[in-house]
Amino acid sequence: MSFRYTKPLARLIDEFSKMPGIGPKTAQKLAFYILKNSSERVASLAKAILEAKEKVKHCSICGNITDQEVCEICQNINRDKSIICVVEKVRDLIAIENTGEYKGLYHVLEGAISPLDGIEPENLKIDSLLKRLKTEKIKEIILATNPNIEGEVTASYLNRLIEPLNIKVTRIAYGVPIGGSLEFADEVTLTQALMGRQKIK
Amino acid sequence: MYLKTLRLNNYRNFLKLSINFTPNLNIFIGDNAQGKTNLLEALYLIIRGNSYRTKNDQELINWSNKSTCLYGEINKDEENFQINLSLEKKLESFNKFKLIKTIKINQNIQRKSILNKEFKGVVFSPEHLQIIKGAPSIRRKFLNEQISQIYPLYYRHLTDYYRILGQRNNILKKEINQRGLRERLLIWDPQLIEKGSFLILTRIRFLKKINYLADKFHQKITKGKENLKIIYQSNILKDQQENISFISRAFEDKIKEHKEKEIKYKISLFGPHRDDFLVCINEFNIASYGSQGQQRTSVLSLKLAELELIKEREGVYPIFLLDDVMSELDEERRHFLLELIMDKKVQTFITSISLDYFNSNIKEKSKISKIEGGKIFAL
Ligand SMILES: Nc1ncnc2c1ncn2[C@@H]1O[C@H](COP(=O)(O)OP(=O)(O)OP(=O)(O)O)[C@@H](O)[C@H]1O
Ligand SMILES: [Mg+2]
Ligand SMILES: [Zn+2]
Repeated sequence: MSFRYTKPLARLIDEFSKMPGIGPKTAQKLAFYILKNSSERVASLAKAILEAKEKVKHCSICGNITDQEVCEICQNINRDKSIICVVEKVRDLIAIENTGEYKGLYHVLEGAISPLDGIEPENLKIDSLLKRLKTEKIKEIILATNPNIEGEVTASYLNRLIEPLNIKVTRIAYGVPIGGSLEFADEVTLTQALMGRQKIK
Repeated sequence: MYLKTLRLNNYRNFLKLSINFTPNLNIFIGDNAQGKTNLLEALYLIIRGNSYRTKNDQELINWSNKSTCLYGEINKDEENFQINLSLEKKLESFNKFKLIKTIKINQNIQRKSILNKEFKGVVFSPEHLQIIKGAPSIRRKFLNEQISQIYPLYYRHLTDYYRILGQRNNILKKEINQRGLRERLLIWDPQLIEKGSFLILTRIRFLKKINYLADKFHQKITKGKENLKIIYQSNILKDQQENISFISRAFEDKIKEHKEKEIKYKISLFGPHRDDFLVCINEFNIASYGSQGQQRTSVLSLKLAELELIKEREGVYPIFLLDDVMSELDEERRHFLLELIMDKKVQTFITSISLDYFNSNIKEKSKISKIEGGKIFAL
């Protein structure tokens, strides 16, 4: 029989090991790190976690993270409001923002179509995107879903939906490492990708 | 490209070995279970960094030892490379071992992929008869491996295709109404067709090319008595089409026509994942009608074609390893096969139970060794 930790500690380790990228060993390490810290430090960490969860919301328009109803990008009057860049995750939005090259708006789908992961079109923020296209004055859509098969399928699915609306649809298409995800593309390739976008046939 | 030297330490049944080779034909004679196949496997390990026999590297370490070292010297384009490969069992916790593999090229630690890019080898082993006799999945694997080597784009489309299949089969297994099912499938079908048609076309083109080469060799070995024909069998196309838009259209029609069936069986029934190829001699299918010798000769012809494809791409011949190839071939076929290899100036390693299979002319030009209980003697 293997050694058992006392219950509160075992629970903490268990909680950590549920986090992405954290295995049982790292979970143990983190738990012992917490125990070693002063009560004040731990309290401040716990408070930061709670506050982040309570105060950080999704923008009601584009899905970006924000502490207000509408995010800074959607509020910013200097941004080009005729163009929307559609991404899978907030992480991708941040990656594109970091290039400093893109001045339009965003729309976060919250994933890509992937039945194997239980994600069908109705689980994505597609309805709200179509609603935006009908109410805002959008001239161009950039489909910046990931260059893997799920991203491709999602892009061509969206393209079929948007086609009848007479809006120019382009697909981010250049220099992004094949099969990768946008998050790992560096800023130079992303900038190239945005400039080299192509009209979908 | 050729191997000059091999040294082994605590490798399989070889505790210590040091041997030099000729750039031409190297023959190893030995009774059963003396180490002939082990030796060919060691040569392959030097040039490729992994075994062609096992996925479990631990098997390579001699039973009574904790580590093994292999060393080889390769000459390629007048340049010398020293290759070291070591495997070491390291104690992780009191009862767990971890196997550490280190590959060095000219004393610098390198990844296996660097080795793979630089050096190539083609193996014939009796198990490869399965390419003819085995299940269709073995032939698909053969095709996929061969084409991926020369055409990286193929590999990418292949992995995409299998990912789409997974998604599509997942949809087919869902308990929802027909209409919803059809709608969801339609999201994936265009990509399935695009990638799938590319795979089919590339396979047909590849087989055509390898057929041309293999047939030439087959005719030489059989003195013109037999011709070899490879036919791709697609469950979408009636005959071997080479027009991509024709293939895609046929693919699209097929899944449209049989959607009912796919929904009933809850699985994707059409596409390159179900395809196969036939090997025919003088118009009959040798998987069903071929003799053992004919099947063996056909696999050899395929391997010789593979040798040519690598030469075409890399500019130099790879190393050719032939395990137990002589048995089941009659004297005439043996003779023509050896002549062919000698003509090509491909460094070749052949194992055999008996030296009687080789005529005096061949023997004169080769380096012959005898393997006995993990030791090698010059003959
Ligand atoms: N890790 C190992 N340590 C020690 N001996 C091993 C190891 N792996 C295999 N052997 C032994 O090596 C012997 C020779 O095997 P090998 O397959 O090379 O024979 P062979 O000469 O090719 O015989 P055949 O003519 O039957 O094909 C086998 O009897 C096997 O028991
Ligand atoms: Mg053997
Ligand atoms: Zn917003």
